[in-house]
Amino acid sequence: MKIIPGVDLFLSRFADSEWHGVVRPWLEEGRGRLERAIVVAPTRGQTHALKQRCVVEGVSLLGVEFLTPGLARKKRVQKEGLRRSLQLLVLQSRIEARLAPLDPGDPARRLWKSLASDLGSALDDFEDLARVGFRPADFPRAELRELFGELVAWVGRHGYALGPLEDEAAGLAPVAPGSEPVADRILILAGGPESWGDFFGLAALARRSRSVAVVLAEPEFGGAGGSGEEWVDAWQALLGVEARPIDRPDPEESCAPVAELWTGGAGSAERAEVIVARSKSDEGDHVADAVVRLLGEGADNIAVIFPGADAAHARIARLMEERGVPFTDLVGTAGTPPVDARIQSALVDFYGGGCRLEELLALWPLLRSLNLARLSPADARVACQELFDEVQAHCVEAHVGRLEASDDARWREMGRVARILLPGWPDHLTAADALGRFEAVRDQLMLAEPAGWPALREFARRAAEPMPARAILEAFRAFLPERGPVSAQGRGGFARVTLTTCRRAAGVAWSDAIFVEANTGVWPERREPSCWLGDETRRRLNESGRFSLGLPTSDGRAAQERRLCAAIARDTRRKVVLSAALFSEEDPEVRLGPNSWLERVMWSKGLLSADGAGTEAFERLAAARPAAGARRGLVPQPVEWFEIWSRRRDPDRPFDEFFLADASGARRPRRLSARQIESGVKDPAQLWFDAVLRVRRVEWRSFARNRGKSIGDAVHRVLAEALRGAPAEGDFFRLPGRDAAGARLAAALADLRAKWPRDRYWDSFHMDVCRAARELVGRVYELPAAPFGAVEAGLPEGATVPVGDAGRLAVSGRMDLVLSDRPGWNGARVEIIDYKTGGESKLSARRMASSGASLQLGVYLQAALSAGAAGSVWMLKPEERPMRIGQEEIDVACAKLGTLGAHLATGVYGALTPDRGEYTHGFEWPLACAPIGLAILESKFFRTFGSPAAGRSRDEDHG
Amino acid sequence: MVDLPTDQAARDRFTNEWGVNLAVAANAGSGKTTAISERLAAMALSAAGAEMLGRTAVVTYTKKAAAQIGQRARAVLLHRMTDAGSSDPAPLSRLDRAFFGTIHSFCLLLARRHGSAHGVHLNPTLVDDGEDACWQEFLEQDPMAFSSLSDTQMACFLRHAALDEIFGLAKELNLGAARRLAERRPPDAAPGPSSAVLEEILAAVPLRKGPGASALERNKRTAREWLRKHEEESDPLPIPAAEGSAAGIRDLYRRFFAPLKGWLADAGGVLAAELSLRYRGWRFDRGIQTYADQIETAAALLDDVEMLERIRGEGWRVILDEAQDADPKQFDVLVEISRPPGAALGTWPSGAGIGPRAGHFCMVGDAQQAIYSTRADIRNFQVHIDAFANGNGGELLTFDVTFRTPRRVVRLLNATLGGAFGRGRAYNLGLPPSEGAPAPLLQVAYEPLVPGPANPEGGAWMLPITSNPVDGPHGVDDRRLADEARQIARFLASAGSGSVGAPAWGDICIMAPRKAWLSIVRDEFESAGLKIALQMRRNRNGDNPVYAWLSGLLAVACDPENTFEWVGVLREVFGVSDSVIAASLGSNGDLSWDEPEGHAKPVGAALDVLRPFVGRADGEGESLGRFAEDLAAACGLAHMARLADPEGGLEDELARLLARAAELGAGGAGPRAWLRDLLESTDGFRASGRPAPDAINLITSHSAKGLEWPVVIPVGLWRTISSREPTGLRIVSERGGVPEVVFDNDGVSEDARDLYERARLRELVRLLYVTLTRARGALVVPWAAQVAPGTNSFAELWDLDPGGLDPLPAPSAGAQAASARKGAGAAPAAAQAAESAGAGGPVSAARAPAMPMRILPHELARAPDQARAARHESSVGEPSPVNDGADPLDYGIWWHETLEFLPWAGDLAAVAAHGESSMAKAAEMGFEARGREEWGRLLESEPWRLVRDARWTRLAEVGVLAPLGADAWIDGVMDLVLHDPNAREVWIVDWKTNRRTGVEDDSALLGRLAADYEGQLRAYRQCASAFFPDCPITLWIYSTVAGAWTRVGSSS
Ligand code: SF4
Repeated sequence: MKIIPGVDLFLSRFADSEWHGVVRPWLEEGRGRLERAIVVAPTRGQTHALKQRCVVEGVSLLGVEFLTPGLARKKRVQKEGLRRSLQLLVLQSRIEARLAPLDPGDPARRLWKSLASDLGSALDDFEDLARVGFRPADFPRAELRELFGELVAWVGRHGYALGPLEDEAAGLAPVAPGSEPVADRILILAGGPESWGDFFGLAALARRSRSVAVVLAEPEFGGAGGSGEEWVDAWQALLGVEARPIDRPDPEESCAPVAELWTGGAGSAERAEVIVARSKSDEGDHVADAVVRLLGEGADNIAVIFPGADAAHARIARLMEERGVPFTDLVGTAGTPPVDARIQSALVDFYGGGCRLEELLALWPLLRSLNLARLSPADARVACQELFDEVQAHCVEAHVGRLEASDDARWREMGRVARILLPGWPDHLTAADALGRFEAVRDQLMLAEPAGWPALREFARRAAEPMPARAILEAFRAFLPERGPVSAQGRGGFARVTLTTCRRAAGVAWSDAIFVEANTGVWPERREPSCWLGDETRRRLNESGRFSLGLPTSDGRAAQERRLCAAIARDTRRKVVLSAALFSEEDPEVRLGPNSWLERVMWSKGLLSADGAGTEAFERLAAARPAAGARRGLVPQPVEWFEIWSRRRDPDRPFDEFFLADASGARRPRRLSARQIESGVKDPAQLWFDAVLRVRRVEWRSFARNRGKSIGDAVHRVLAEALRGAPAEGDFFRLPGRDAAGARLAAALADLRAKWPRDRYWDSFHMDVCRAARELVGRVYELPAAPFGAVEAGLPEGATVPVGDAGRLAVSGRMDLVLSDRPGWNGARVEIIDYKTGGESKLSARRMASSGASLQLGVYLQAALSAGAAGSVWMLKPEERPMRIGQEEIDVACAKLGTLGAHLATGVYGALTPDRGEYTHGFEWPLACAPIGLAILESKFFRTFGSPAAGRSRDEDHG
Repeated sequence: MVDLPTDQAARDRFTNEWGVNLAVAANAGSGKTTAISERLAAMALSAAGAEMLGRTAVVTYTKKAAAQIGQRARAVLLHRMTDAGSSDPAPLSRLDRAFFGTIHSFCLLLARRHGSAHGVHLNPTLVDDGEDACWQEFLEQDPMAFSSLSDTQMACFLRHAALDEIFGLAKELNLGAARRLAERRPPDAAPGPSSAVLEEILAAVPLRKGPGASALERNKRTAREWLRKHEEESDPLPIPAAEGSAAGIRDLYRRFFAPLKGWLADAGGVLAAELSLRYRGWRFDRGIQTYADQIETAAALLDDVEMLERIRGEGWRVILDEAQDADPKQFDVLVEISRPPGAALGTWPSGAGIGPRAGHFCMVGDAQQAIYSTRADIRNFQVHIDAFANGNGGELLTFDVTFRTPRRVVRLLNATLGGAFGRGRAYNLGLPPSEGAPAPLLQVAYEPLVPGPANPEGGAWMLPITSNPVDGPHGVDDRRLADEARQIARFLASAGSGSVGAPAWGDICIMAPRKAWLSIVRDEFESAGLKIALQMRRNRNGDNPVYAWLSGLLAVACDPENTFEWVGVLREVFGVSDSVIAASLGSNGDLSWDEPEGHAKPVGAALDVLRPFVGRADGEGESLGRFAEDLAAACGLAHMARLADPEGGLEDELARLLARAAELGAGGAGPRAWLRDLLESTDGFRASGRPAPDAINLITSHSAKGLEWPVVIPVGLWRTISSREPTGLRIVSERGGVPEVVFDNDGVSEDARDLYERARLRELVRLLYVTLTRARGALVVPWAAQVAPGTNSFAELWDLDPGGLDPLPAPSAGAQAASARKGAGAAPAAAQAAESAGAGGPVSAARAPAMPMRILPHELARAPDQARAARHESSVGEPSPVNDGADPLDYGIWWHETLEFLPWAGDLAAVAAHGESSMAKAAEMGFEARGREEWGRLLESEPWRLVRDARWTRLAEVGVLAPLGADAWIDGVMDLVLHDPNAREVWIVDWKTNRRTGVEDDSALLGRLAADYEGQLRAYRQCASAFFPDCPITLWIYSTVAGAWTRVGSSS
């Protein structure tokens, strides 16, 4: 007995027969009536293909909607199911609730921890269960039974529904008489057993239509396993009619034998074509060529099938555009979401990461693009770096006050923005609290609310319990669009070429099908069952289930994927093309192999049985194809750019205006700091960027503590405090006595300790500072006694140093300590002191002369001499004896200033940047600059300035 | 008739005896991978074997090798199937069921399958061993409190050492060592320095006066003073180093501080262990795993007996390739799971336990090629091999036949390498266990090579090098190597590749043990005009020009105010001269990037090119893949890459990076995310360089493992291969399973240092073996008779009498080696491929006509109709737009849904009931008030009255697919269609929920809506008219806000 009036159930063997035998007549039958007619097809791929077929055959339609099961469901369902992301949130917080009372070492924690790390799979398993009539109680593990039982209860208690359970109820229960139907006529193209998950949903639709026709894949073609039969049985039982085959002859041409090579059966590779390219990008070119060629041969409906929206897809879409081939893209090209949404995602990161500087910086440019922040990203980075250097911590919250109170405008701007974003979140809070915090910030930043957000608000209203902040943030993230629509060619049009996926290509009649990326490991995907509902359990449940629809096992899924490909080949008229690559640019060391289908096709074609079968044959096939670039006629032309590129790398050519030179001399620095001089002599590239161009590099690596540098800074700071006495004249003061200095040092150190957290790390840090500072104070008082001193004093006004051909150069700099016999420079006898708390640096006239080591100190002394003083310069290190250069040796020591003079006089700087070691690097060039070896630079330097670069040898390192 | 190799019997056994555990000691070039493949193929071809394959794990150390063996196995199987004339593909499916992968991935699989009851994180994030960012993050959040030392002990440790001394050790410690160290608490009080030694120091006398003498005086003072402070004060007191070396002061200092340093080492070890265990917990909590963690996680599962038995119960059969590279922990996991149920953990091969079940554990390896002592432990491998050799757990087979090495080289190596591996060399021996006892031989045995039946005679020749004087204080070795390389290069350049027996330049490989040496060789070869392909395993990403260009370009696109990066882009990508750049910058180093016209031509042109990309960096709906391609195209990067590297290596890099961008873009990432991705990997390393037919290969001996070339030329044989001693707090050995920690190098005893050096030399011998066994045709040894080999050079280790080598013959000999080149002519398959590609084939059929355009009416309107778009089939799976605030999308959808199933003809009660159920939904969505208001407004409106008229047949949500003009079809859905057949009248109504903008009144609002959506509605009318011929169609736009409608497009 038919339970639904006007019911038909068909079995389809070929998409083409299905179209002629059922679909087209069904569509035409309703013509001219204002009736609600719905066609449901498994995916957007099939709905699109049906429409395209209507267009090709001139079948125009009114009142017919083509829907996927998901969209069709919305026609029926009033009550929204609880979204997956919110289900995960509920589950996560249930797990946390269980973990909370347990000791960290309690073995009972273990399973919950594992489950929390793999909750997505467990939820997938639960959905699998629910879709075919099982319940939480069917999980083999008690914990999962309990957890998902709670989920179901929670959902019911809070007035939500779970999609699969609702579908099942609606699909099984008869419809109340007199209720409004969803449609007058419905045609359901249900496909094969791979659509088992949609069964109840479709059944519910069928029940709510005045007339219904259903088309299923014929089981004989569904392949082995019998699930095809059960699929048909289920529909027969539901509709109460016998299924009947479509009464149409099979199409004359089919590529079915190509697939049979893979799925088992006689098989033949006659209608198969193989493309093996050298690399993945070459593969794209060959596929695009093949499409053009096939179109030329008269192909009228080509499917190019991708495993997903990947790089190959993006590349081929672009190549089709370049070649002017119209195409429909059903794979989908994603674009960036709107800035508002990106900012909100970045906010989620910010709170989830504990309000750190890194995430604040990631937010910054986005905020700035909406004029919500004023500093440039580079300035923001600098400000953050300064803050980090000072506090040695990433967390913004603890230091926001410091930022706001600063007299540096950049710090205040950082503080202003940080204040808007803060406070950070507690570990646990209610969804309403979380939402309130998030929305308050969003409102303050005037960001748009994403579509669908009200559902979150409703959830927060219903769910009152505290939940883990991280889980809430993840749920928020799911409500923010990850991707944005993009206006790309091929979106949704009608065309002879369709870029699609397996799932979307099945059940459509094609003239040709190209399966790309037929490499092992790409597809078919090998899926491991999750550990929550393994294959064994699935098989056992299938034997005992309420319904004949089965839980898919991983073997079953693999077989389904093969069947899907086989179905596509069967519905393809002319040719199946399989393309693959020999290697991926990502990992050129790993040779790729053909996937199992391609392998069988190649074998059948005899391509693998030739001498040296297998890998070599695959390689040969690739080699037989010219590299795509060469065919595109990309022949190197001598261009100006390459000439410049080569000249810069030519060891036999001197530095010229293309290599850090200012031909006009207009940017010659008038004044340099001692630091700039020292680094510029070591590597003139530094001088070029820093002092000639005056551009500053912005670090991009994440903030990391540099203990040595922090200790050095701290030591310098406390020493300055300890040694600064009563003011005398200008920068000079009366040097305190040794005991007084000791007492002041002790006080400064105590102040310093109070600034850092009380833990062993800072204990140790502080001890190092204390030790170094005390040692250094001791050393200072061992130097020739002097009544006056100056700390962190600038070089005298108007001080100059001799720089060879360039005459004298004005210099600046800040010295750690100057001891003097009078409170001024002219006529004074001075000892200039530089502290070093670490590193290998030494001070000697010989080293300074040969390599420019510690030249900064030489400059100090020269500058002092130029101001009418006499004396020497000292390097003090806590663990070493004081080192000194006196005025008698200073001219010899400062020999390298002559080289500096040559740079200044000629305007040619060049570079001597050392080769980068695995852990060491010299001056860092702009990102765009590929390094040039030191040997080449030295040779060029020699050819430019004549003075040989000092003997450096290459570092030994392991290969 | 093919001759069989002499070890064929062993090979057959390995192929066919699946019920036996077999270990294979395989010489270089003996076809290890092929042997495993043959075994697997044989299994796949038999029904019984197939059963086993489902539980077979073929594992090896590297990803590359794992991929290779998987493919090799299939190739061999296909070969066998072809031989058998079979057309049944079933064996291929059987082979599909075996697991091929790295040991790490296998451990991950075990952990994922079985770890849930152990709290294992099932979706870990993998980081490199020693990853620093992670460690830094851990350090910052750690409470930095230690319970393993008392406060006094802690104070003592910190007094003499900085806490960060323990960090290096803590970061690297493995679980076992950490646990063992944690138990080794130091005594409560630290011993002071030895006062007896102080006496010796004070008594030391310098040999002569001078700087040494005064340093000695200072050393005495320092020591005395130090001891005083130690006893009297409590200030921080680091341990000083001796100044100079006069009077054996270094040793005196070492002994003086030894007791204290010993204590500090123990204390540091305990602290490091505590921190290490905390780091571990922190990592696991976050699901962060290093490679070592993957193995440890699997190993930890096996500690649970029940779990161990369950995994054993699965019946895994393990085949381990390159077994000499597997570390002990990995061996443990693989061995334990293949042992029989009930076998006690850790009792085989050391211990009396029973070995793996028969047929469940096979391994193939070559101890002679063990060159990774930092991770693998050759002794552990030997222990397993020895067990098999003694019939304990299995049997040992030897494959001594090499199919690679030519006969002449085989003779040479067999005659000269035995010594290097033998007892005659001190470094091959360990220290005697007791006085007078014989020293144990620790080197692996040299297994003489046996040439395969088809191996050519080949060549082993000497290339004489003149030793030119090289002087100067620094870099002598570098310059001598350069000199050698120059001579080789000149010889090759003048005599051609054939002179060494290579058909092409690409058939020659220059090999050296150190990367830095190869750079020197490269410079010399390039100077001689030879093309080279330097292949490096570890090249910094940021140093690759293409990587650098793209990073720089993105940096300026994402932050155009960053002038520093602009300068890089201008000079490097656009080839602008630095002088011109300098002239373009403002006095503060700023660049007016947005005013191209204000700059010199090359700068302006470059800014013009890049300015649009600055705008796109934060654009919405920007496809990153497209952005990347556009950027590369605009700057001509592909062309530049080709010019700078004609071999195509840089183009590959460009393709790789563009693919990466597309990949990221598919997930919605934009240019900024790409920049971040690039920067994060800038300091990372990748293999780079690739072979080309006309370029000589340069490669390190380490990287050469597993590869072969027709001609190999090892360079720098005479050169000392030095090593750097590690420093700081560290473990120097594990004596009896107890890790020995030293505070610094003073703690390393002479014995220990000697043992280390010996082990290093043993490994260098093995590296030499690898180097010498890479040639398929000829080994060419450059030799300068006058140069004495340096200590610990390859030449010193190798017992080579260069006089015994033939000098390189005149070029005719080249032909011989050329014959060693395999697979040169593979014409048939290649031809077939070309044919099947059908390139340029005749065009047989007419091209199919172009398709009509598809028009989605919701895209026709001037303002997007998002509510409509969201409900259309064409947007399934497409990203949804963000609310634009003014006209909330959710509300629009709700309104349409409300109207779709409205009982138009029903009574008031039915309408009200429908309204209420919709309002409930609106309440959930948070817009009940608005919904109620506008719903009420509709019910009171004139349109409502008109639409409810009984004369109509009504249908809401009316799909229309129909031609629109000559070459387009419309594909849309009309909100409401009313048809009065009697009056011959059709109305089409469109619902709009748009809000007012500003102070718009009703008529302005309706006017705006009409203007915006008229196109859409007219299109509907045009199509609908085909279904309702001769029947005027009226178009209406109803505004929910106004509660009124307006007529659109006056006539049909
Ligand atoms: S033409 Fe169409 S609308 Fe007009 S009366 Fe006939 S069926 Fe009705």
